[in-house]
Amino acid sequence: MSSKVSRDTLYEAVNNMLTQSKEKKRRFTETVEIQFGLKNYDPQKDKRFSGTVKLKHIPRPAMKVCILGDQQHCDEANANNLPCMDAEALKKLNKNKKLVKQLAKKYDAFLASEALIKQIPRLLGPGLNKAGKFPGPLTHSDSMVQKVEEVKGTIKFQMKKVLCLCVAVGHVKMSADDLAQNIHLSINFLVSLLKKHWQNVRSIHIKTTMGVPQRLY
Amino acid sequence: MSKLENRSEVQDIIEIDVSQDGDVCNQDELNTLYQQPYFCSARKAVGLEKLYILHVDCEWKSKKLAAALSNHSVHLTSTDTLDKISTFIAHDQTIVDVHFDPVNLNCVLTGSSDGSIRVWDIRNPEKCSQEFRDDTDQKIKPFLSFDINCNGTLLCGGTEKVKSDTHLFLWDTRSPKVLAAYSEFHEDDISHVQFHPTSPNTLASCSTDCLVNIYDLNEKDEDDALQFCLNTETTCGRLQWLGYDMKTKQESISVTTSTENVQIWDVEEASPKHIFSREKIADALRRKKSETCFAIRCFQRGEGQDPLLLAGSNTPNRGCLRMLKMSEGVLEPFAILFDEKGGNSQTIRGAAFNQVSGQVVSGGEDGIINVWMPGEVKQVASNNTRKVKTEVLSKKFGGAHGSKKPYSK
Repeated sequence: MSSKVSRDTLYEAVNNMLTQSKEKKRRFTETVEIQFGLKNYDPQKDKRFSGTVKLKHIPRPAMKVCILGDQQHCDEANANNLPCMDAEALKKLNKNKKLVKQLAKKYDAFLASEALIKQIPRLLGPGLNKAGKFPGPLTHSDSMVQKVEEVKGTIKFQMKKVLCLCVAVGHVKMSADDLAQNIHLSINFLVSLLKKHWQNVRSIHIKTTMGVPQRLY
Repeated sequence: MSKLENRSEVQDIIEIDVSQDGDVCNQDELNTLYQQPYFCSARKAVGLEKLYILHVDCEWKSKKLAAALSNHSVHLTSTDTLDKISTFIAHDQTIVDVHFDPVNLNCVLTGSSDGSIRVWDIRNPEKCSQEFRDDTDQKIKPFLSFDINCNGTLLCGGTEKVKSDTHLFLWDTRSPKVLAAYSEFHEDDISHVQFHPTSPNTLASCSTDCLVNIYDLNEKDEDDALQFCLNTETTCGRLQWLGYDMKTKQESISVTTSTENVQIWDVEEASPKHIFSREKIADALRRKKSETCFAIRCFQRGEGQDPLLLAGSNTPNRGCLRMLKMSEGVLEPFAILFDEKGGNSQTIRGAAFNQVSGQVVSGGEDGIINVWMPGEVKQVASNNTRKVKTEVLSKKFGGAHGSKKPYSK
């Protein structure tokens, strides 16, 4: 089957991108993103395009996840050096919008014990909903550490009205291999969701936050 | 140069080969698996131009069908013959959904990204009889979905994310003034809203923020209206109330994600009771390539009957449209919807299901509407040798076992 992006092209682009980023030091760790240009797609009538994908290598290692847990989960969180809050701590917020908003701002994502999740609308009101940080479920058979890694490794992509889709898949401190793997997985997954697959793809570039786009396709 | 030994993990990124797409087994095996016979009782193109059918709704009692098209018009036909009753232009922007009024059977409602929901009397569709809008400020908030409740008293519209807000609007159908405007419940586009089929104040909404929210609209305070919040952990496309689960004693709901997965939830729980991935759906369909398979609609059936999943593949010349039964977390082949005249590769965008008769209506991007009926078609030659009469076998849809109860399997 015809190759759309050869292994060599991918590595060349990733290496160029990383080299360039090293040449000009920034005060922050630049994000690496894939930019898709789409074609044969009409946003007025074709189905909207969005989804989530779990990457192999964590693109946002600094992401802060807080556990809202029952006794068992809080013990596990403490043992693993993960921030946590229990039902009592949540009740203390007293459904105060300002406090809930502050809590939402403090962390990037939340995971909660199933029993606790069911109480969140009543305990906190819609504050976490509004912030887009409603917790994901945590059962007792899940490995907490693994679930946190899963949350950190999952990215969301969404195309609005313009025929361009940008997906953050890593950062410049990652190895070329890790980046290549994340990019490989993302491209294959996204294309599999397009109605006409590669016929809907006009171009693919990768770039760092401040860098020059490197063309892949 | 560097780490050559790890490079073998990443292969070339290649084309998705659909030239050999198709079923994993032969026609005979498929017929054995898909026990419920269905045939195409009517088929019509909505026009000569290339138009997409975006949404379909049916008023089964009076046998009417409304199809919303990509040229912003609504096409009204009979559900039996698909003969056109009328066509009218409803909006000047994309129509996001179409619904018959469940009480006023002569009324059909359309919602649009132009920020309005309009009511049309189908006997006189030149001018809309009523319009509902956000009258709270001047900014247009494009709708992505709307619904009317089972007793026709409440209307709800869900919007796209505009700047940093996303809204749920409610109207009492007797007044164009906004009854309630909620903006705290979702953080991204509200992709679908649906009222509970029999409880007039129960509403569900889903969003690309990954949440499905269940509301009790008897609560006037925004903060108290949210009853349950289900985190699907992926972007949601559509939801469907599936009825009361006798086993778990809870209302259940299906969520079709933007990644072509289907999740089944009990509304009071914190995680889904079943997840059907795109691969599982392709397997159940007996298809080779999951990349060409789509989860189209979930259909609720009568009490005690498992819901159905309408799914298919749009590979040109090698596509299919089928229904799977969702029972106890297992997907089983149920019925093949085969259009002899072609169009089995149409990307289906709208569908409706009649719980009583088992009829299915589908419409899609080729501009073709199909009506499917349970049962078999028998070819009968009439006296005029040029014509071939088709006769429907009168038995009910009991499949090979000939049972009298509908959907006894």
